[in-house]
Amino acid sequence: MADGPYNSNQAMENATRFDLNDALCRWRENLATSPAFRARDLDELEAHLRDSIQSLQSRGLFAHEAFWVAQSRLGDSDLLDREFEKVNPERVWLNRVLWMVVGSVGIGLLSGLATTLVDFLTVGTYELLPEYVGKPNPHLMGWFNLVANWVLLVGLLVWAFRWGKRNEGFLRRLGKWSRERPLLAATGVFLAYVLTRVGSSIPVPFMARSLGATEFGEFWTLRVWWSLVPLLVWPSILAWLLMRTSRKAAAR
Amino acid sequence: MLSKELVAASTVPLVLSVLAEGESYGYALIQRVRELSDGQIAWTEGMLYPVLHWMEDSDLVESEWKEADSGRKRRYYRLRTEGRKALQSERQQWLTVHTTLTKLWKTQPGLT
Repeated sequence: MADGPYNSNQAMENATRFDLNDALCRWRENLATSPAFRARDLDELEAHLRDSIQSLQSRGLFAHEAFWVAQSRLGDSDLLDREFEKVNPERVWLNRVLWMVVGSVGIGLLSGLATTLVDFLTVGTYELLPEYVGKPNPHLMGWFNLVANWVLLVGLLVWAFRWGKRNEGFLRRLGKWSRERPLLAATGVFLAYVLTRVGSSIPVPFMARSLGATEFGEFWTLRVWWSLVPLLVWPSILAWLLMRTSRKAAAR
Repeated sequence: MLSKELVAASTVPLVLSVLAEGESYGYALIQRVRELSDGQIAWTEGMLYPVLHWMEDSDLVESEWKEADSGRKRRYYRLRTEGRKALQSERQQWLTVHTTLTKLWKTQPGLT
């Protein structure tokens, strides 16, 4: 939670036009993006904050000062998050599983997208420029296809990872939205997955046609065998990431 | 000020003891403890709620949302039988520590 809902500079600027309900609303929304809090936990914390603010105001503090003091006495969002996680662990784990599923489906989606793009490129090369490429060579074509696919996939994954880091707030809100509508979210993910799978099978008959049956057989065999490599690579990358993250967590 | 460890160890007996006076809600509980300890026991307020929820899951207390005269809703906690038993046991243990330390310190006048 990098962006607190509020900070003291803002408080100074807004001193004259501070809306307490608005501030409370934003404070609550910020916490609500975490799976550690149930709605009734937030109701209770909000009731506490309102009591605390009222008491501070009765001692002569301005609304924005009272809000700021009450909020810091309650504890920052990271701390609350950690403490509530201990009493609501099942919600937090459900959320983690959700992101794991989204992650693996996301990799599947990007991989499908990469395959489709590269296959179209492969077919296009043979269909549009036969005189430059010469007779279709299934091995050359297979290797070009595989390498281009891997390069593109790694590029897409790096891009997706960076995008995710930049848009953490958006992802948190998306997580909250999906937790509230699990069926709709699951349907969306499923449909997107089916769509890319269907999409990635479209270029296949075209490739078969431009290569001829025997060559296509060789090409396809090569591709299927070498596609097994990523199946071994992914778990290794995941295991490495997991070890790195847990080591970091332990160091903290 | 209490050390972190002592705050963690004393939260449950303090909550049980305040609730033995009658039902109460989070904010009032914190105020009561602060007042009785002359501000020496000042919790990070949000930390109390997970403790209260854990106590509820362990059947020590039960809770209920009630509307105050001002129209504001608050979640009130009250002791259950298990909670009273737990309070008795806590009381025994804390008194043992307290008595032992007091005796020791009485025989060591140079300490203060």
